[in-house]
Amino acid sequence: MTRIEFPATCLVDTTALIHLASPKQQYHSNALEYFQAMQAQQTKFYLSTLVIAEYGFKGGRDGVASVLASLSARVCGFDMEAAFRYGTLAKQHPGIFQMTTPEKERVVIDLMLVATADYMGLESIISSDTNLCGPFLKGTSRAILGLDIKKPITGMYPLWSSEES
Amino acid sequence: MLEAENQIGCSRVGVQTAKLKRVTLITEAHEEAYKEGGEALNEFTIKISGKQAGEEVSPTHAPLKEVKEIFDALYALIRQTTEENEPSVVSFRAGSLVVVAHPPLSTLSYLDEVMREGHPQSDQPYTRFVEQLEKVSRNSGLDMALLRDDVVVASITPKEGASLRPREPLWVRTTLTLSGLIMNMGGKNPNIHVLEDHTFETRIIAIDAQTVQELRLYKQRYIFDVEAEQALEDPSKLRNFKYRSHLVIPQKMSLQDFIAAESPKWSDVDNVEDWVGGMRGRLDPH
Repeated sequence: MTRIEFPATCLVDTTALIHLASPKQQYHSNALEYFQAMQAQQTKFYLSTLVIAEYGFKGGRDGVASVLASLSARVCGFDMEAAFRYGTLAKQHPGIFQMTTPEKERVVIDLMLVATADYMGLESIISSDTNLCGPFLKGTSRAILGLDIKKPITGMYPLWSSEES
Repeated sequence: MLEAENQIGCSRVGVQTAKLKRVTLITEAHEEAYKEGGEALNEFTIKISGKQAGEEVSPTHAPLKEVKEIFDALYALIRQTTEENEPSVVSFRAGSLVVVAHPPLSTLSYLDEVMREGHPQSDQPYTRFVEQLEKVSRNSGLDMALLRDDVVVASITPKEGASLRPREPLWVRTTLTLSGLIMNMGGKNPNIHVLEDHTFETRIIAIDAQTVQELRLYKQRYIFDVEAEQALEDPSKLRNFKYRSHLVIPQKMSLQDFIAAESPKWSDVDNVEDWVGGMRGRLDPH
């Protein structure tokens, strides 16, 4: 089996967090394996305030605190530097402007997460959103690895990387 | 004071003033000898053009007052960016009047950094240097160009001043999230010193005296929501932090404990992707 090189840093998407939190979810065991493996490899986790907004909707303030405590995660806001990076990235995805409004708004948030990971210089994003782990990583200033928890960690190498697009 | 002397077939003019440490005006032939002598020839060049007393300025028609003022500015720049005793040399070349400075490497490194950043701040030695040259240009009607490695990095004209003008950064008020440990706190004007997790930089955050009482030094990690001023063109530059709120990051929790605590909250979510899609896509009409 090919040895997986674990990223040193990882931005955690809301979908990955909910799969991790809830054993009833389809990809819970995959998520748990990814997070356990990365914790064992000392990966540093980052949580966007956008993800905090979504997770906090049901998880509340104490739920967010639990995420931060269990993952030793750092928080990164969508600040001005991320906003500038978003503008650059959006130009790489002209398809956004042809989408219908609900889908467009979803993509905008996905791209805001990618912009955050990009300006922070993070090495990976973990999510169950296949688009966020793949096509949306196009155009980043450095390669960002997409860790798609729909694919079990065992035997899943090479993982998708924006460098390969 | 200017004094002329002859030396091995080339004319040489030495200049000594109370302010100029060692400035020698030498011909190109002498400069070649200087190069061959093994000295580093890192250059910063000021090209001066225009007429004075009805004649184009040149190494044989150098306007004394303006040259002195330019040298004063150059000397001040070197003095502010290098050690006192490091030697500095300039040479004159033709092509209007070209002053080639060979300052210490620290001055050149400083200039390169300013050129790279492209927007020098108002309190920098380079800014004062350029302002002085602008004044000379304005008063004399002479044009000037600054060159580094034969590349023009700024031009100065009597009417328009310098093309690479010093510029104050545009600071915008913004909110930021910082996480880390408090390394110091208190003071007459209370503040906390937070060692940031991601950057390992210490941020000094103004805070009210009452909130300080709630915080702990060294042992507790916090997330701080702060106001700050951020440079629009270089958002990594931040200043004037002001506390807004904080969140305690609890001590380490295992993933199993996290799942036990959080899973009941998500029991009514059947499909994560649909739920998050709904949050992001605003499918709810409200």
